[in-house]
Amino acid sequence: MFIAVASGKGGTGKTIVSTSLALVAKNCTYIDLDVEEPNGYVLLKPEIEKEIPFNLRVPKIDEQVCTFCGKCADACVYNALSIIPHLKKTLFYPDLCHSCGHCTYVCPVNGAIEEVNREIGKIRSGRSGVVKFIEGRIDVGVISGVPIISWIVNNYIDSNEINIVDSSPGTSCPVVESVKKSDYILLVTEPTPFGLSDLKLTVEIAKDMGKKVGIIVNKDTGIKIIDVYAKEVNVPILLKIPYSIEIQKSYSKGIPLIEAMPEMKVKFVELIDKILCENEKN
Amino acid sequence: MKAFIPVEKNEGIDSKLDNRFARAGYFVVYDMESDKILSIEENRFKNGAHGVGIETGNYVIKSGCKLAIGPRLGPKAENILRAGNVEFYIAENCTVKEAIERYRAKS
Amino acid sequence: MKKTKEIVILSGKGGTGKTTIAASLAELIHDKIIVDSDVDAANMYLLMEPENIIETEFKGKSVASINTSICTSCNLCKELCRFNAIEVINGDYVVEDISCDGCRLCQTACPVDAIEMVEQVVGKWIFANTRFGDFVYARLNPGAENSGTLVTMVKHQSKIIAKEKNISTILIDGPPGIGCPVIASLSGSDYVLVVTEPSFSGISDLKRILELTEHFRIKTGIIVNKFDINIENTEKIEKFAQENKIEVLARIPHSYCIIEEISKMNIPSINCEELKKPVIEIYNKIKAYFEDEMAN
Repeated sequence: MFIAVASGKGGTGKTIVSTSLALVAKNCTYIDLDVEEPNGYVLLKPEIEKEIPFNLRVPKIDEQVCTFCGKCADACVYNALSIIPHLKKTLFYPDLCHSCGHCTYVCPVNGAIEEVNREIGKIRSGRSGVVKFIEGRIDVGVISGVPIISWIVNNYIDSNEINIVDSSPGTSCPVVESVKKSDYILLVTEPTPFGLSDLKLTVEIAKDMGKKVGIIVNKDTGIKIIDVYAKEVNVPILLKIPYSIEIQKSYSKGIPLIEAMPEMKVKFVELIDKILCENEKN
Repeated sequence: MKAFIPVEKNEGIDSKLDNRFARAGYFVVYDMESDKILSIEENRFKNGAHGVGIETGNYVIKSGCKLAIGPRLGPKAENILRAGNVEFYIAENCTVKEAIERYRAKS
Repeated sequence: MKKTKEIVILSGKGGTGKTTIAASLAELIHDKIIVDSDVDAANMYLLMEPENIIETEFKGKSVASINTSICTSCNLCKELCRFNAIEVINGDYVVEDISCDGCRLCQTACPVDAIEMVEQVVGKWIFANTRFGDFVYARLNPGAENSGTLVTMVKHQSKIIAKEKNISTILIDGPPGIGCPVIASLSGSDYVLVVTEPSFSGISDLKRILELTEHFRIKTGIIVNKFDINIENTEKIEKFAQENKIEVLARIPHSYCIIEEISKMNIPSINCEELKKPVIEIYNKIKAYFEDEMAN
């Protein structure tokens, strides 16, 4: 089973929720796909057993062979190449390259463009007690996390096991990529108009994709703004985490929620049981 | 020598420099020898999604200009100009005419 | 004519309180246009009560489209596509819009010219009046690719209005992160306010964004929000700022009042003293900076 934890905006507590779930689900795999800012490790403190580079295939131009015709630069819709014919120079901007292969395809000269690896991030794996830990991380300056997300989703998820995925925040491409293959999406939000507005967008995406969705209200102040909406669109609220400065303090020190507030542990156990049970019914 | 200058609107020599280089409204190509505008054309890259600075940099190189006058470009686009031996002079909040005068006064 | 000043509010990651501070400043600055360039999760409109809304569709990326009556099913496009965007459904070759990256390789390669690129509507930009002044913002369609283009469009529109109405300040609530939309928000601006939190990633988030403001040589000030959640980290941030000669404009405490006010869709600095004071401080420091600039 693949459970994706997502949120419309950053800072809602996605990591607190996904790490707590992983800690109570025990024999599961926690996968951090918040690749720009993977923070799950701070709370789970895994022992890292393996770290492998993640590469994209990018062009390398041999200026001895190149005729500087400029076809590659014209073909590149991402503007990742510059050709300066009168000085016989070529420039390549790896961070703009989407690795589509268009330049290599159009190059009329044999051997002028070769595709080489460019490291854009790392995949770390290890263990935190009985929890298997996997994390994708892109290097600073790498614009899109989509390739590494899609690679991890396609290669690291064993559908016979419980996988808890900490998705990218937002409502754009990376989050779509990280929830595409999920069985259940848990949306973490806060009971403010901002939280609601972002939640609406993510519920829309999830429903468009035909996914099962549940809501977790974090920083609950007792205000019922999310409850009203959830009822309207018929999405269950599975859990409320109270508003507490202590939670925020322990988070900034890297202490997991279920340790900081043991009374929440029971609630997370109930939550994971409920989701697993529902999944089995289908 | 030809100079490449991004402007807001086509108002000839009195066109105001755009404070965005790559997403400027129009591009002026100015001939420093004959002191004349060679061309003013609409910037067709301005609504692009990716690497508009680079696209513009490539265009400056293709235009054969050896001087670019305007606001700062992104790091990559400035790098193209450097690689193409295009001199870059920063000017903002002025007309094409004033920009040329400032450049001459400086050099 | 006065020169319009652009103030941009940014943060290395989401959820640091960018919008709260932007809205509070909007309340203080008189003659201004408000811009929300966080097109991925535009939230500021919730506090602004926009009226007389004018929406304009915005086209962004192009995706491939296969004309099945020309297509000979040679399979070349499917073989070449590195985004796995081409599927065969009931014998027809079809492009899956969400996966298509718009690289055009298939279009180049297609031996019978059966593929064309179709521009997609990716969102809309919106102009509205509010009791705080004119307001320009945008919404990206869910799942669409965020690009600097929509941000640039929004900024461009705000400048046109500023010029027409001779308005002196454009206040921009920027997107989180360091990507293309952030660069688009930054370019051409005069002052950047970076909102950070003393969380464990606070300093690294901050460093990433300062590299950008440094490159564009834009005057930058830092605001430490919820500073009392972790004093030790707050001090680390302040030390880092000092070493890099960047001013820390204010510390803002964690506050229940702010959350309550936002829940009521009020601008929190009006009723929360703990926010009002630092926001006035920030406002005065920015004002003083611009006055100094003018004098020189």
